[in-house]
Amino acid sequence: MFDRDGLLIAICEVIQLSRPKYAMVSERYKAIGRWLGAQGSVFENDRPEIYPQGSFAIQTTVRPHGEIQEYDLDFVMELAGGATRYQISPEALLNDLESRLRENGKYKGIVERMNRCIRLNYAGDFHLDILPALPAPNRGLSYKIIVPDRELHQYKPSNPKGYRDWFRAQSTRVLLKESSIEPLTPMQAAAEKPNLCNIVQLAKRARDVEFSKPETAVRSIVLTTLLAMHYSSGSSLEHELSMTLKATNTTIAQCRNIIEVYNPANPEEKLSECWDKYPEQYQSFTSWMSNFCEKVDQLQRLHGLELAIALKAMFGEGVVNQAVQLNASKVEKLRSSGQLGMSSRGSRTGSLSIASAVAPAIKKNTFYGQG
Amino acid sequence: MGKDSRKRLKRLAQRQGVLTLAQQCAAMKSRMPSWQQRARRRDFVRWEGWLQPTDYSEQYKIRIELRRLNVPKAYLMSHPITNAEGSRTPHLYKDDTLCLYQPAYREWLPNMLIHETIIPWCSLWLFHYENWLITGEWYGGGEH
Repeated sequence: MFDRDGLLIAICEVIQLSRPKYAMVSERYKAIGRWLGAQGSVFENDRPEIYPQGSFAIQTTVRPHGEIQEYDLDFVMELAGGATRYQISPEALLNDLESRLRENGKYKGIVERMNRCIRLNYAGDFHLDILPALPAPNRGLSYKIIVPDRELHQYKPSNPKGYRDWFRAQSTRVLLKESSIEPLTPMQAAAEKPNLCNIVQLAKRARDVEFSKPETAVRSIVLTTLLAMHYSSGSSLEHELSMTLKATNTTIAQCRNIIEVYNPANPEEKLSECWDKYPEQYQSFTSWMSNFCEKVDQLQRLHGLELAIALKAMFGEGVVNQAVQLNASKVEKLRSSGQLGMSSRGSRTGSLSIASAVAPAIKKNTFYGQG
Repeated sequence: MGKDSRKRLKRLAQRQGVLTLAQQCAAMKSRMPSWQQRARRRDFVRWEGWLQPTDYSEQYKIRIELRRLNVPKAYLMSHPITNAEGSRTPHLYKDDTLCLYQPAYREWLPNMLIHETIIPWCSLWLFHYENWLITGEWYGGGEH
């Protein structure tokens, strides 16, 4: 909270799904999984497995911008047992998922049938979109699955777990030590996450602030994939955000036509196909990206109020104010427990920090004054 | 005041642990080496220095004046004490000095070193001042 990334990290804390909500979601989706696999369920013998995909899986959740303040969280229900009876009828699979959920009084009133998934509406908090899936034929040791397409006529390939593993590898590939990929702990505070997660969150938030019509903005999966592909380590989150954006912009600039973004975990899937259909959206995306990159670069020269004003323009006034309040409350907590110190040596004087031998604890005081 | 009275007061002050200006100056020179002593008279000293509460904060110039047998006064020199809308920062005295402690709680006493009290309290005040400029709210608590 005291270093250069203090405000950016606090912004990520403010925009992501809070820890209590994260725990609530985890509990709920596991309960849904148990219900789907329980005795009496149509899926009883199919070994249904529920797992997160998208932002919840890779810890890049961002609160929705605008009037609807519910988080949009995606899950997969994979019938690990194969369930050959659904192989020619994705619609039947979706129908059975819907009816099984409606059989439970807890879910009956909040079930909503969407295009190719079932939504559970926890109004005011979040909604869980459950996409049914089957294991891909001949998938070997991979995580590949098949999911209903938009028209529910057939299946198309997907690989959310593979994407999650790819993303984690991208976020940790800059570690010098050789090690197997450490799984992400269930819920990490913004300051503890790999910086790539925070970079994606900040970019998604900046996109939401810029594009009032979400359907014309770059898809989160495309933005996430581009940033992860261009991520490199630096001296701080701020520096890494700047470098990642610059690298992404360089790639865009070097491409004479619309860039093509394929799913690294499912190479036949062209994530960026909507740009082929709507090239004007690509134009808006590239000019926003270029502008965002420039503004982020300038941040590094700003401090205090000027920095906050620039961040407000990018991420929204309310979010920055909440981030400042969050940092202030953390400092006040340290202060009231006698753990806030100030160091008087080194390149900066008067720097607040956690009390230590070089930063003696600040004696108790009460701000006073006649105003 | 007669010479004898002064001597008596001095002995009394020493017994109570009241620090002399000389002692405060020596401590400041040693512990806050980047700060500068701008003025020094027999019963008065003025220091100035820069404080930066966090790495993303501005640097702020503070002046501290200490008159013998008086309480220290801290001034913000580099930035205005009002925000863009013209509101005064919370926790200032009428003479625009920073309100760093509650005198009634004896949080600062003349036997305390400036660099261990006034200066860290300034840094903390500046942290909250900056946050107030950004959000319009004072998150540092306090009383009026």
